[in-house]
Amino acid sequence: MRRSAATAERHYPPAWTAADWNPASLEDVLAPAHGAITLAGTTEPPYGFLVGPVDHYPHANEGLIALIDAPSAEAFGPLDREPRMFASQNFIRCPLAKRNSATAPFRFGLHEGTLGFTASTSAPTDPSYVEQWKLAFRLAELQADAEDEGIAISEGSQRDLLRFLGTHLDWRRPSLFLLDSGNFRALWRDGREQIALEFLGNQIIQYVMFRECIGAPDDLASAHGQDSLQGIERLLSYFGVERLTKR
Amino acid sequence: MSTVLADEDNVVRYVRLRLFDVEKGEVDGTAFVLDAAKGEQALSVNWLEYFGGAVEYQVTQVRAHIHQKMNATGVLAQLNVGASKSAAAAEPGGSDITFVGDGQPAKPPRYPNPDPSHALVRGLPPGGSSAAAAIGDRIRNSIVALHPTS
Repeated sequence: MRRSAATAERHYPPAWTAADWNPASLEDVLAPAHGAITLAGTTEPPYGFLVGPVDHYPHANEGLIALIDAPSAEAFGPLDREPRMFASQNFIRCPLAKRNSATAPFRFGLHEGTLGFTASTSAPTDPSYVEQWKLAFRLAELQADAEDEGIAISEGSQRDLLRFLGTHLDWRRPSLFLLDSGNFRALWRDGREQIALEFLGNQIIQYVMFRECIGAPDDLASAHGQDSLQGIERLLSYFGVERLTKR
Repeated sequence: MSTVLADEDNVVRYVRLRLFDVEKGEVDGTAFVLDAAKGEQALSVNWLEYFGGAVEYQVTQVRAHIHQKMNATGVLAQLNVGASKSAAAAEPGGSDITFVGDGQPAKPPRYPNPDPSHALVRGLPPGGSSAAAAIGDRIRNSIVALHPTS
């Protein structure tokens, strides 16, 4: 993960400072919530949790977002054997109002891992890094909305979503949605053409793809069904919609 | 009494934040899919032309009367009836959907006023399948405009 050394023009929210994120206080907050998390405080990038620069997320100022790095190997399948940035990151949403309470509930995407972090109030400016943070904020926003509506997020769906995105860091950032079922759905769209992937858990994806018919662009060819995490990429290529994922 | 809406008419559907990616400006097609878990038989929408006047006025009236708690983070997605019907039918194995106005009486104390422009989209397949999602995505492609909820 690349980070910009540039100083933010605006901190988000303004009241937060680096002192809020010192390892000791964070450990105090997190340790009672989940004993399996080991905090390995470091000031070295690229690990980080960082206050992002995104304006559009109304829930972002309700808490912090942290990325867990280096999850235990046992918790992951073959997709995660190789070092990948996003696949090894999972999101914690820590309600700001409760973060000093030892009994505060926390949401964890996955329950094993080592949390490496650095404190920063600088906003990222590197485009790919900003894209990851926008994705992180959208996930946090969806988590908050799920809480408000009493929807239980499918951990299997979230796990598969993060794995999939982590193996495709060079892809365009998709739109993300959370369905009534608690499953995540990602959408890459250009006009009427699309790739929509619902992560059903157990490494199964439900897909809906549209592309303009060759020679008859007024018509849309469609394909929908289910495939595995590993198989979906071949399907996108076969159907001719891979280009929708390109930046 | 129910009224079948004409193809040139328009409806709006409330789409909550979970299905509306604000930053991308994208609505998910599952906003137009029946909720299988709830055994939903038809989709709730509001008929704009019921109120007459300009679209802005019509949307204002919908906001004032709709029997639904809307969050400011959601959006009202406007669909043209005819375009949505064509979109749903265009999917192989697709659906012949109809839009039927069925104004709702007041339901105090929560909704002290009637919701006269309430309408239903009938003929959609049960949710939960990729086929239903494909039809929802086709309908999403026919969205005319997005209006704020307040």
